[in-house]
Amino acid sequence: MRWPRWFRRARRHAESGQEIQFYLDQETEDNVARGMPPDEARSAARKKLGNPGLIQEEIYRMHSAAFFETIGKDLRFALRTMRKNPAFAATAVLTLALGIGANTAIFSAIDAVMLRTIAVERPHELVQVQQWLPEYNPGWAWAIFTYSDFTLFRDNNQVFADMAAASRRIANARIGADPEAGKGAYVSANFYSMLGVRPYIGSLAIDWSTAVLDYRFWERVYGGDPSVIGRALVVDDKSYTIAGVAALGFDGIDAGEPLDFTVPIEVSGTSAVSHGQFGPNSPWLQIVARLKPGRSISQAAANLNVIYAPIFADRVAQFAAQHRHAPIDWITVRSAASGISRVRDDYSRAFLILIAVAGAVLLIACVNVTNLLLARSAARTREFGVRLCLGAGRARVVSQIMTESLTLCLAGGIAGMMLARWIGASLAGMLASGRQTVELDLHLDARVLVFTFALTTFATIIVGLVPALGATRVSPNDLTRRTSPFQGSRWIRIGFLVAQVAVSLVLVAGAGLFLATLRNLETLDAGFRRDHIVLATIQPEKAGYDGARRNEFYREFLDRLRQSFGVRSASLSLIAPMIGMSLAVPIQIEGYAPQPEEQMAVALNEISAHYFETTGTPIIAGRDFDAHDDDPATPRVLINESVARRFFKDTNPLGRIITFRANVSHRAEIIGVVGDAKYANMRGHAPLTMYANLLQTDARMAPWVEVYASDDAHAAAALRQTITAVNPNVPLTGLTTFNRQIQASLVSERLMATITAIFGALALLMAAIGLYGVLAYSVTQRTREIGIRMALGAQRGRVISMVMRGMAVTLVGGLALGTAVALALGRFVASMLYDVKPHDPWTLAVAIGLLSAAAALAAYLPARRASHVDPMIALRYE
Amino acid sequence: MLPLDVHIEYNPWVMARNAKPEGDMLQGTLDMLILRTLVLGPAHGHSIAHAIGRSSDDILQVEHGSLYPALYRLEDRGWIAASWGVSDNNRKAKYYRLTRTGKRQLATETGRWDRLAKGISRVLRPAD
Repeated sequence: MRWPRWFRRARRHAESGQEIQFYLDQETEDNVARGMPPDEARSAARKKLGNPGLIQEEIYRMHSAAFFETIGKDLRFALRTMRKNPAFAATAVLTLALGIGANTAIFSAIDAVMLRTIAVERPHELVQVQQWLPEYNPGWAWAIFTYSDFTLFRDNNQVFADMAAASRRIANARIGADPEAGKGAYVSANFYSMLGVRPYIGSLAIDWSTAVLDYRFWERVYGGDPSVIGRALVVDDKSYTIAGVAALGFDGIDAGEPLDFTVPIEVSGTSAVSHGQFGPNSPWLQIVARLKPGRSISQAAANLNVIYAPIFADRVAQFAAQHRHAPIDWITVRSAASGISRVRDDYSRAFLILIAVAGAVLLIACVNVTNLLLARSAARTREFGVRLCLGAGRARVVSQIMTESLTLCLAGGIAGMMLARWIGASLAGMLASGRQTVELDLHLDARVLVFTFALTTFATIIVGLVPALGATRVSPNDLTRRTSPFQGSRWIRIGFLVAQVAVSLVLVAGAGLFLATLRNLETLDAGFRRDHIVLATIQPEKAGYDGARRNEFYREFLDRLRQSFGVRSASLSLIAPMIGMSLAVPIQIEGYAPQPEEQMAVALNEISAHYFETTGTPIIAGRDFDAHDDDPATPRVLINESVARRFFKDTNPLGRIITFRANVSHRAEIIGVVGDAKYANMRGHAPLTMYANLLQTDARMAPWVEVYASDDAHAAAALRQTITAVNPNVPLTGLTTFNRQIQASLVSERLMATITAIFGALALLMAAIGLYGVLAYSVTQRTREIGIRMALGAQRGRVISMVMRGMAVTLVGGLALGTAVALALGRFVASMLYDVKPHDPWTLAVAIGLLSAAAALAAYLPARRASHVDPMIALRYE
Repeated sequence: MLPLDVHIEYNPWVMARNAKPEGDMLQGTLDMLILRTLVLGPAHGHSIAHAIGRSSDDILQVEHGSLYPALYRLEDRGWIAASWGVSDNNRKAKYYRLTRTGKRQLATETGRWDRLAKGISRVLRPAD
């Protein structure tokens, strides 16, 4: 096919008509000349020529793109067929839409978190620097550095074109009365120039007193007013001048955690840094750098390790002594092209499992629609046979059936896109309820569109090809027979049903496992009470309390709080359980000789007296802190049962000495042993935990205050009233409850449980519909046979059991296959489960029971109809 | 007996299959006959059909209708060229003439046919 010919095809069609006419005229004339009567002469000429229509069509087709010509016709035909059977069309489209929508939504989440690059110049050159701290967090890269580390790397490396530092979103902007109106980050002065982000308005050159706004924050809070440049922005009680607004699309470097604004790390142009609690040696910065052209990530890591070696010298020596080999690299570098998202680390495994589940749902949806189409195309065998007899090529009929499936799938794809937006929004809502408010940018970009399109194509092929090839394997002779000639498809349909039951079983069982995990985590004994504890952070430093005055403030505040209405107990802690932070310190115990390679580190929390009374964690031995323990000269600690068991075995730990280093070295006496309690996570064992006295140390962060009261509302009211009474200038922020924190820490589990449960229910429903559809169809086909049986004396019960027996075989096959697959796939989800084995027999049994019940219901309806067949009508039926 | 598409019976399957003319060995044969006829000078479809029948002493009963798609195909390949003219009895007719590439094509086709025919007759009548 050459295109010029295609454009001339109409003219050539006319030409070929004229030519053929000429032939007929000429031949007739010749025949007349030979002595034939005119009528006979003309018909003889026609006979000699053949069918002019066919000849012209053949020539026409030579010059046309048959595909484009016919697709229009097929499309119109497909739409007509859909209109004629709206129930079928709606079922099919809805089924496909659910499958495609689920996949698109989860893929767009994957795209947003894992695939999409951030809106900076040449994102693939960006890397993040991480360090490896085995004693703090085994096997976990730690991305936080001190300002001194940052300047050390920045000034000495040979591999980076530029390097910038940024905190997490820890800066709070006060706008009007709201002290947390915006969340921003402290960044180094070269942050925007290193990333190559342009200003939308103003300038992004940061100096020590300027703030830069995010475009969306600017629109949301300032209504996009350009006169905002030069105005003041109060961040953490410090005033900055707004210098510019960053270009639309740039949301910071943490995918999922957009910045509202940035303020500089460097204060007063000096490199000495202090922002409230952060000194030059507190780790609080993330380092992002741009590789020089031609440098690789591994070269960068090697270079940084050389620079960092002196700083880690003592650690290296210690490591080498313990492990008897040289340490591996302390510094690791990884690509930051997609940002440095924590969301990616937290959720990537969940997302991958979810997309597999969504894929299975789509597969079931496709199989369902295929089965519906198969049943229909079996019914349309006669239509196809007639078409073939009239001279349609097989390819032509196949392409027509494929167009019908394509129409269905396209409609399903479009509806799926709309569903995806909705599913995506609820997904984002669920993620936003976590400990870090994750904001997913789920706009549909080219990659998502391509993905959806590929899904639709895939669905079309699955849905259309099998019925199309089957239905056209009809010989014209079959038309003379009354029974359906399309027997081959019966086995395909049964195979599909078995597969469908199997996949549904896997999904339902998987959902059961995730639901059990969530339930286990929500109900487990965490070692502390959950109800009626309200939390908030207080920052007396902001109101001018420091050193000893701060402790006085705490004492007065707590005393008053405990006397408030409804309050049962109140205390302070550096870290509240489940807020997602943890602190760990290396320890030495006097009189304890560590094994080689033994990890001498414990989780640390700093608390006030009455903390255990508030949280309900029992004191097993010794005593709580009291008012006499606040003197920093005599440090004291409590340990939990696990520490006692691990390091003291049968000996009495009370009175023993632990040395540890938190800011400064402490040599502390153990005064009590408390019950184990979970710390940063509901999962896993309660860690080895040591509790130091908050009032004995310099608090490096604003502490949490916990209030246990008869009621959440009473506790919150008591907090507010007490702070107003003691000193209204002390900021009280982040009000929440223990329960809410626990819920927030389980977002990933809830996400898995909810989505797999929805998908499992969908799969169950689709399997039931599939079984029902196929069985109902076969009952209709067997009406005559059933009529004869009944005429010969078969009882209703027998007919019912006959129909249901056929289903039972399929069901058992599917369940067996599904069980095997579920067992085989179990290990992939094992790490995401809690207190339930991937091969949990009860979960599997419940899933099998559910599917069997659904299948029995799906089979019973057609079976009952079969038993009500009237023999007389059935026999007259044909 | 020569393997030619001389006789087409109406049969849906055959018709359906005939819709795809490419790759058919017999098709090439018809093409060759048309080219050979046009060596004698330009001619229109009607006279080509009769010429093929006549020159083969009516052994080759080409269905005249099948000639036209072949003519269009040959024209597309550039082996023949068409122009509208007036026939002997003053009718508007489309005349085809052989192009230079058509002549070359005929020569190669003829050579190949001769070799094939020689080979086949050697197999069929080894005694000669």
